[in-house]
Amino acid sequence: MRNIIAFLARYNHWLLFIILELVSFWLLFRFNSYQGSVFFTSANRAVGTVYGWVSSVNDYLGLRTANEILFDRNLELVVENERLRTVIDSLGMDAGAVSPDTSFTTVAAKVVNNSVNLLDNYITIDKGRADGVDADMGLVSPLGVVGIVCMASSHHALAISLLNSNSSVSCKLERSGYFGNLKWSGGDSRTAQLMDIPRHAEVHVGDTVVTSGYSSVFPEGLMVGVVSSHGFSPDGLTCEIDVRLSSDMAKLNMVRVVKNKHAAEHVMLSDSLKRHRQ
Amino acid sequence: MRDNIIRAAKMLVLVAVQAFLLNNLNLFGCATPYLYIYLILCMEVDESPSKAMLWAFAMGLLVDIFSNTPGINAAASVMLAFVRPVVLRLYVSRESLEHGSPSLRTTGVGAFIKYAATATLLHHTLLVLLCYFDMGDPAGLVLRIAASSAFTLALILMIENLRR
Repeated sequence: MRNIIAFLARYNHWLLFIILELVSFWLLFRFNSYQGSVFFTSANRAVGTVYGWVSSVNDYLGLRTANEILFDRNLELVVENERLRTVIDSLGMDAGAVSPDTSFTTVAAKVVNNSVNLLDNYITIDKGRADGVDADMGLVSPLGVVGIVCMASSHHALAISLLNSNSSVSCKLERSGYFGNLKWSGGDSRTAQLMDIPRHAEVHVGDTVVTSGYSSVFPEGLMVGVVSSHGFSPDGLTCEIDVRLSSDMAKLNMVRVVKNKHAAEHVMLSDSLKRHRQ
Repeated sequence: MRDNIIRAAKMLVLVAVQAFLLNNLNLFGCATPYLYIYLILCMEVDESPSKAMLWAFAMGLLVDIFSNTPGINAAASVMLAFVRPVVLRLYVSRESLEHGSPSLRTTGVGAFIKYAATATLLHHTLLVLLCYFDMGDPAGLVLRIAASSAFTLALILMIENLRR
């Protein structure tokens, strides 16, 4: 016994080393496996607030470009709107009779922290539960989809960026309607990979990729990016498509959180389906 | 007590620089400096290993919380604090530096660069492996470790040179 105590006294820093490393790895694996506590992330209140200050300085410097992008996008939408109106008119229908989709609402939020150089990148925004933001809601920039909220504290929320090895967004090719999952496995922050598109699908460089609307997170038809190159998977069964993301993930500022009113219903249905299968 | 306060202040400055500035750098798509380990490198030679590791853990955890990488920086920093005395004694003998902290002035230019380079490389190797291991690209990992270490080392030497 005395020997053990003497041993511990002599090598107590070894013991401390092992304990501290175990704590670190516990934090790492718990966080990576699934949503851990918000406390150890930049979405906790104190850290989120500090990032809020820093980003308000950065925002001010980036206002001009942000404005230009919004202006361009606005113009594009006005033109598109006019075109659709003429199409509807030419079909002999009253545009007012087409009821708007009311199942999705949005909350405006500001990005206070964001990274693109890790393998698992996250986006911190300045809206949380108090503003109605919660896990499994979509995050959209003026130019396209950017991520999915994974946890929320009362005034901040953390979202899995598209540039995260755990991210998966159900997308489709707008022209042909074939759908697959958008993933990212490191590397270039402007390019993600669209997987599981069948081999016989016709894919062209420049095709638009939009959300499929098959999950409850995003409504159908939100812009994601365009096909930049395509080939086949190693097993030859599916296409592997590189998608150039429409939003520059390194320059996020204002975003919108997309809330689906029927998300709970959606989840309940798929849960009951799972139970039914068992 | 006074030493602890000074060290805590240094730590906060280094964490802030890391979180708000250096984390956003990604030179050539592969080099991100982790300058905060400077605090660990500059600890006194006769600092107790346990105390050094607790400081390293606290600092690593703070950096982690700011960069959404729970545990990764903490694990790498604790490891660095643990092996630092051994690394230091590889290049600096006990006779030439009994008290005080290693720096360009106290250990000489060559020994300090070797000490800082080895320590940085060890820390960055573990950090990059924990961060990017899933990427499954050995050449990319090695490049990232080398480039980031070079970047960090350059910043450390720059600061040391100013302090001299």
